[in-house]
Amino acid sequence: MAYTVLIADDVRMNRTLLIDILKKKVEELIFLEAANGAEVLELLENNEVDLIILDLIMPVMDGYQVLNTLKKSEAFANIPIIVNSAIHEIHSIEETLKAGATDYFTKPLSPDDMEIILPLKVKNSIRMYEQQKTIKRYNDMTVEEIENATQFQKVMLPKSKNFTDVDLFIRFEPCIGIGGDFFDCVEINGKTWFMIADVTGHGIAASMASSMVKILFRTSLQHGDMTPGAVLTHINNNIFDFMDYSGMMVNNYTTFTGFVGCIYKDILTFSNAGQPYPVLYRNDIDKTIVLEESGPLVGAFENLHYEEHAMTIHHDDTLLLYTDGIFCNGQKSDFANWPMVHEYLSKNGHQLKGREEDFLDHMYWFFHMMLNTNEEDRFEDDVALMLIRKK
Amino acid sequence: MIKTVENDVMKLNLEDDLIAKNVKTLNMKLMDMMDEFDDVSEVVLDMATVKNIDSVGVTFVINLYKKVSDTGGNFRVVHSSEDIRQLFKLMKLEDFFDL
Repeated sequence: MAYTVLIADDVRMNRTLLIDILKKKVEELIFLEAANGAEVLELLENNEVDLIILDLIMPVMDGYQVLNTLKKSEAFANIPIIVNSAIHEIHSIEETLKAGATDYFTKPLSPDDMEIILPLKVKNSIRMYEQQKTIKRYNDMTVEEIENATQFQKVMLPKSKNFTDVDLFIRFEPCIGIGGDFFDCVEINGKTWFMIADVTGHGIAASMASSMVKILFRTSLQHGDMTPGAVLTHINNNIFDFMDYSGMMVNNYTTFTGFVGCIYKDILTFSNAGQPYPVLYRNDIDKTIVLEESGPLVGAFENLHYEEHAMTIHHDDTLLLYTDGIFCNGQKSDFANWPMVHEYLSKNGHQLKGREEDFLDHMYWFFHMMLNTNEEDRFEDDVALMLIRKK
Repeated sequence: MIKTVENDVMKLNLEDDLIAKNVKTLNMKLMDMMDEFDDVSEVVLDMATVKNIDSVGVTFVINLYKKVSDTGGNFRVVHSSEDIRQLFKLMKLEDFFDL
C-alpha cells in the first residue's frame, strides 16, 4: 500500500533533497510538494495525505499557521506533521510540539539524519497514523452497530401504555445504549402479564440474551393456562434445551434474575427468580408491601420448578419493579440498599398518581445517589424501572 | 485464588472481589484445576476477602458448584459476608450448597 507524504518547503532544493532521501530508504511513498502554507491547505483538500513534513518559515502562510490551522480542523487534525526547520531555538521546538507536531528536526540534515533518523521518523509516523485510522474505523463500526442494536431494543421493549386493566409506566437506561435488562407487558384473554429480568453482565451479549428472553416469555404465554411459576419454569427448561455450553467453563450469557406477574380481576399472582423484591403501594391505606418471595436464577440450574404466590390487588394500587442496576456492577454491597428503595416508595407513594413519569425520574436519580458516594463510584449498569397501576 | 488440599478437601481462597473483571482470570485458573476435583471429596470456597460481588461473580460460584457436583464432590461456601449471604439466600442458593 502506498502512502502519500506532503513536503512543504519554499526552497525547491530542500524538497528535492528530502524526496531523494526518502525514496531510497522508505518503500511505496508518493510525494506531493508545496512551496507555502496556502498550497498545503489546497493540496489537502484534494488528496489523501498520510504525513506532512513542514518547514516553518515560508511565504504566504508560514508553518506555524499551517500547524495551528490543521490541528483545529476535524478533517486534518490527526495527520502527523514532522517539522523540519532551520530554527534551532528550543522555544520554537517546544511551541510546535505543544501545538501538536509529531516530531521536529533541524536543518541542515546531518548524514545520520539522512541515513537513519529521518526515514525512521517517517516510517513510525505513518505507521502510527495507520493504526489510528484503523482504531477509528473499528470504533465507528462499533458505534454504528450499537446504534442499530439500540434502535432494535427500543422496538423490542414496550413503552408506557394504557392497558384495559392497568396503566404501565417505564424508565429504561442502558449504560452503553443497549443492555441486558428486559421488561414486557401484554394483555392476553383478559389477563395482564408482565415480566422484568436482568441478564448477567451488560452490553451486547446481554442485550442479545434479553431478546431471547422476550421471545421465550411471549411464546410461553401461548401455552394454554400458564401461571407465572410455569412461565419461569418453561423459560428455564427452554434455555437448557436451546443453548449448548459444552466445552465452555462458564454459562454467563443466559443466566438472569426474573420476575413474572399476572393480574386477573383483583388477583396478582407472581413468581420471582432472584429479582430484587418488588414493592406494592397500597393506595387505600397509604402503605407499601414488599413481595418477599424468591427463587433461583433462571438459566443457572436444570429442571427447576418455580413457586408462585398470590395476593389481592386493589384499584389504584401500584407495583414497582426494578432491575437493581446496583448489584450487577459489584461496586458496593448493594443489596443492602434494597430497603432504601422500599423506604423511598413508602415516603413518596402518596404522590404517585398522575405523576408517574416524574416519580420514575426521581427514582432513577435516587439510584444514582445511592451509589455515587464519591468520584470513583461511577454508576455503570443498566437500569429498568417499571410501574404498574391497577385501574 | 489460592488452592490448598488437605485431608481430601480442596480449599479455594479468593483474594479479590468476585466481579466481572476478575472472574475471567478465575475461570482460567479453574480450568487448570478441574481434573483435581476428582481426587477430593469436598471443595470449599473461602470468601473471607470478598467485599463485592456482581452477577458474573454469582455465576462463577454457581458454575464452580456445578463442576464439583458433576464429579460427585461436596461444595460449600465459607466466610462470606452477611450481605453476600443475604444475596445468595435471595437466589435460593442455599438449596444447592451450604453457605
